[in-house]
Amino acid sequence: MAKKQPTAEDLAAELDQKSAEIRILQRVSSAINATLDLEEIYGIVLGTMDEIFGFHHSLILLLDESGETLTVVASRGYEGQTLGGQVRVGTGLIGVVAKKRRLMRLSNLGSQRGYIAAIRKQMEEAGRSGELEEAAPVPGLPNVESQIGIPLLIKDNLIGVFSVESAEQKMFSDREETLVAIVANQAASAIHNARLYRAEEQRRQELAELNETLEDRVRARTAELERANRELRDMQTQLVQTEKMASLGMLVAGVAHEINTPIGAIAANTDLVRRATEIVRQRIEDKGSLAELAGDSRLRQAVETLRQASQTEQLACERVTSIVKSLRNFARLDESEEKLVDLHEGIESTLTLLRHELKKGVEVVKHYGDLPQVLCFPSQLNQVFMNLLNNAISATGGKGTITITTARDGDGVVLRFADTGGGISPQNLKRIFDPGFTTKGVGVGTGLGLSICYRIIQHHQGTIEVSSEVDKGTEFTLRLPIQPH
Amino acid sequence: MGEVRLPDEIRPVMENGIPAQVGTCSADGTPNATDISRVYYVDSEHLALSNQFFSKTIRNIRENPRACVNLNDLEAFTCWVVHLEFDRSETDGPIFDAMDMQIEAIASMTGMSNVFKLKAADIYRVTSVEKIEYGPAS
Amino acid sequence: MIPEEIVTFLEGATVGFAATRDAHLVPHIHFVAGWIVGDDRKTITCFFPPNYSKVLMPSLQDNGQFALTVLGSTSGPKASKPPRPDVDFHECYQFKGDYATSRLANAADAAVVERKGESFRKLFVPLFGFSEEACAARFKKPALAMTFPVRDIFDQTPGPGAGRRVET
Repeated sequence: MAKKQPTAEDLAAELDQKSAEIRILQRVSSAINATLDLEEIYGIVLGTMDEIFGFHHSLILLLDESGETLTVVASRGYEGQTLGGQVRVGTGLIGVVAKKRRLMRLSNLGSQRGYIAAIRKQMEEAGRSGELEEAAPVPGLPNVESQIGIPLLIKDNLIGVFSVESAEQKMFSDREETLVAIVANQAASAIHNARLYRAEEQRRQELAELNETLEDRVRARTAELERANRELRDMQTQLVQTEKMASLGMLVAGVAHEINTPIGAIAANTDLVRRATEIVRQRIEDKGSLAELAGDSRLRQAVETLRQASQTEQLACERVTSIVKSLRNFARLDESEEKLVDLHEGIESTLTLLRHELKKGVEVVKHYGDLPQVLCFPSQLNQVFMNLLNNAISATGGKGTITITTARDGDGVVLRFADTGGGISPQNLKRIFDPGFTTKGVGVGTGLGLSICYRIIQHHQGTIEVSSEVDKGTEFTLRLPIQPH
Repeated sequence: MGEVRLPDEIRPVMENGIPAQVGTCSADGTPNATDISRVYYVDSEHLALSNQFFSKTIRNIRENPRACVNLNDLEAFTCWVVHLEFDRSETDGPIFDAMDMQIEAIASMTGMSNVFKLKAADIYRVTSVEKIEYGPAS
Repeated sequence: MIPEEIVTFLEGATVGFAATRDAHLVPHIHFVAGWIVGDDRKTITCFFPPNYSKVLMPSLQDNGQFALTVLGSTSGPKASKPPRPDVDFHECYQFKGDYATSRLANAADAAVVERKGESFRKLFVPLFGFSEEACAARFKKPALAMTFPVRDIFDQTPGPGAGRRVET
């Protein structure tokens, strides 16, 4: 049978229709791509389907992160709630379109569903229900007859499915399928861009919120650091105390010797005094008159011995008293508070305690300037002096010169302790204030001495510097404010 | 024998969802009539039937490759009578995929995915096409 | 003999079509507008529309082989209780036998076809959206009545039992 040839009018009408459709598609495309608002994009897409193309029931579903479920994000033309409705990938036309990533158009779905439902019924009646799965409801028209499902693809990645449905028996035509596919493709890229933009916005907002809370976080962190700092300080105080006890321990031998000398002199005098006193007693008993006593040379000798012994004991006592005073001065255990002190006193006390070490052959040269009293923790500074002088004595190996120079410098004071010892190599000099660093060998020093000196001076808002030349000597320079803030 | 081509106007009829009737004949000459929910267009010279349940039809075709399909277009008062000869059976490829996709879509909705599976796409060559018009009721 | 419940099914069933084959084993499909079961329940008479296929009678006269397939609705033995019109129209049987006689259709045959047309319309207008006119055109006054004795009945209802021979 011959096919009916289209007339010129038919062709003109078809051309007009196609031109109109192209114009509509261009407008829709511009509108969709002019916004980055997802809801607006959904509105334009579904509105176009409904009002311009006459497809009154349409859904946009997006794939969840799991890649297993599609969720309705926009719908038009449905009664009741379809938003949020879900479809498993692989179920129904929408789910299968997602699974296969291919467009699908079906018609007369009602009869096909009925046909399969009839088979289901037969299977149930034949006792084969175990082979059946639960019928999965899908969002959309319950009485859908014709449907087009189009995968929303960005390159090869599925982001969702666009579905157009009709309860009418009439099948969607090729032309209608093409129109829907064009709009769906436009929608896919617009949705993708909008989601990227939304994600970017969210990131930006999170950053802004982060900035807003940054100040609070800094405050909290500062408090945390302050607490940690306090704990560290307590620990340092303990270390300082430990180091002080270690220094004192080292001093005990020298100080004991220092005290032994006057005590020995007193002990030696005791016998001398006892014997002289015995001579004096016998002479007084033997002699009948004062004239006789006055002429007794033996008696005079004994009295002279007693006088000298008394003098020696006085000196010995003075010496012991001085040592004890220096010890107490050094420890200043009763002075844990800040107070104004004369730093020369501290240096002198320290030198007194070190006399036993110094007298082997170290000459101490003092260039004391006119120092004001300095607000400080005296026992801590004495520990620094002890450390520096002890190191200097060690450096000289017991023979050499230690020069102590003090001077006022503006609002502060400068104290220099220079020795003529062997000096320190540049690589050791760099690490000299590091905790644990020592050149004295295992078991000799704690290795904490100079690092604690550093901490103490820092605590007094001062500085400690060192300069050294191998075979020439080393000089430590302390700078302390008179009134720390 | 010149190649027979399916006219364009038959394509919508194949997709209208109205069941088609399929006739086959065994080698011993016994005819068989069954209905089928869909006939799939392959190209202008071929169409495909889904191989699922009609086992008698499949057995007959393996014995005698000739088949007859009636496609109904009630609104046009038309019935298309298409004679076919079995060509091949496909279990993958684009024709199979397209048919499988449609069957899976419907079957999964009714919880029948495990049962209602496409075994094969049977491809037939068209040997004749006849359009029977019976006109509106007088 | 056709079982009683299948006779009942045939009375209510709505869609019929038949297959014949020619001398070259080429099958042909024919629309059957209506049918009645003989009083002895051993034969079925089919009614064909005015434009029935020109190969029908030559095929029957060549070899007599005939197969009638009838799709039924709720009246069959597989009908759901309560009825489920969405699935029940898929009950289906195929009747095979050899051509016996044929004659011109009469008024009584036309009344059967008219009833079939009416039940077809009721069932398929909502299901497929057919127009009244389209349904009426399919069930015009029949032209031919053809009778065949039923040799075999097969249950062709879609599902696991499809193809099973029914005891006669």
